[in-house]
Amino acid sequence: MVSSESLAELVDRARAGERTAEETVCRRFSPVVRAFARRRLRGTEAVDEFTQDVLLLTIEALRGGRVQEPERLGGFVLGICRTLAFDRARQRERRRTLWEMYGAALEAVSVQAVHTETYEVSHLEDCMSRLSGRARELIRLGYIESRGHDEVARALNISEGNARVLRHRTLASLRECMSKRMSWEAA
Amino acid sequence: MSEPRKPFEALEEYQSGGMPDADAAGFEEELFAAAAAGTAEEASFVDRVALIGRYLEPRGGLDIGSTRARVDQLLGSGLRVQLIEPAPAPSVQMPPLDPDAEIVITHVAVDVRGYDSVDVVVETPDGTELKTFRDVGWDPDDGTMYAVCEGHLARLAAQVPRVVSRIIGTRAGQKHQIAVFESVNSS
Repeated sequence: MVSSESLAELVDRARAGERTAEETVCRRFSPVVRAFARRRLRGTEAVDEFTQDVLLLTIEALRGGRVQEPERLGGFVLGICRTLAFDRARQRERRRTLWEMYGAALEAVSVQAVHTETYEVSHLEDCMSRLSGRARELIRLGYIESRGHDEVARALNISEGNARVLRHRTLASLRECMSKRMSWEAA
Repeated sequence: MSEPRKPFEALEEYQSGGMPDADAAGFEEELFAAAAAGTAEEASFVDRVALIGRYLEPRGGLDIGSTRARVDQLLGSGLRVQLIEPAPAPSVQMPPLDPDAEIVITHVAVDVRGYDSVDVVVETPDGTELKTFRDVGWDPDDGTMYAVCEGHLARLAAQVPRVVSRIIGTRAGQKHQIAVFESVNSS
């Protein structure tokens, strides 16, 4: 658990424009912002765009010293998400400008950055091949293509309730596999 | 007293929209507070799966048994692809892997058409199971399988000197051994 003091330090460093602090903020929040977006949006592009917008605005706020209570950074970012969810259309032009100014900090959480993570990529590929075809399809539709839950259930020809159970079981199984060494290494 | 949540269950209910808005508001407060503390472990795991999956998908890394058309697409993609096409035999000497191959494709020239599903069980010569590739896909035209693999993972697997692969088909609930062969990896 990270203490509120270290969170304060993180906010201070980000305020000072320290890139690593901004990347840490991106790494911490991009998963939950995506979760927030997946609940409301359909399609990978829409989820990505929303996530980038929130992170860009967060960095801008940090740089501008607008995060007054570092221990409430989570609530601050959530506030951005909620506000943005209501007002997305007029953000498009602003996004382009922000991207040019602060976009580099987001590279750490991009698909392109995965290229350097060869071991983790191999590990996931190895673990995915152990899943059933249906579980793999669920991961592909639900997380890679960010399809809606109802759409995933229809594609797999199962009820939404069963799809929900299959989702969390598949994730748990995948996480367990990835917590171990790859079979080839064990041999 | 209610049962404790299973791993990923609450996150999945939230993301899929199954969680009522009233509950979701509190859930996302906790989620974002956890992200601030660097402890949003489940959301981070899901996000890594999605990111790496998006990296692997266009490279054939999630196919788990590809078609010839997909192989041709990868060969023409500009990626460094090594295609290995060993002649069917009880014992197959595998060629050395190109050290700079980004993707390695091995053609398993066994016709598996006519089965409901096919698994490939890989073992060491003493019968110790290394892993099972589940629900492997095949080419619809000739029934053979193309195993597409990230270069890093292929080189890791090739460090195991000898493996025995058993191709198991399931038809009407009954399992049949379709073929078995040994692969001898080049050192």
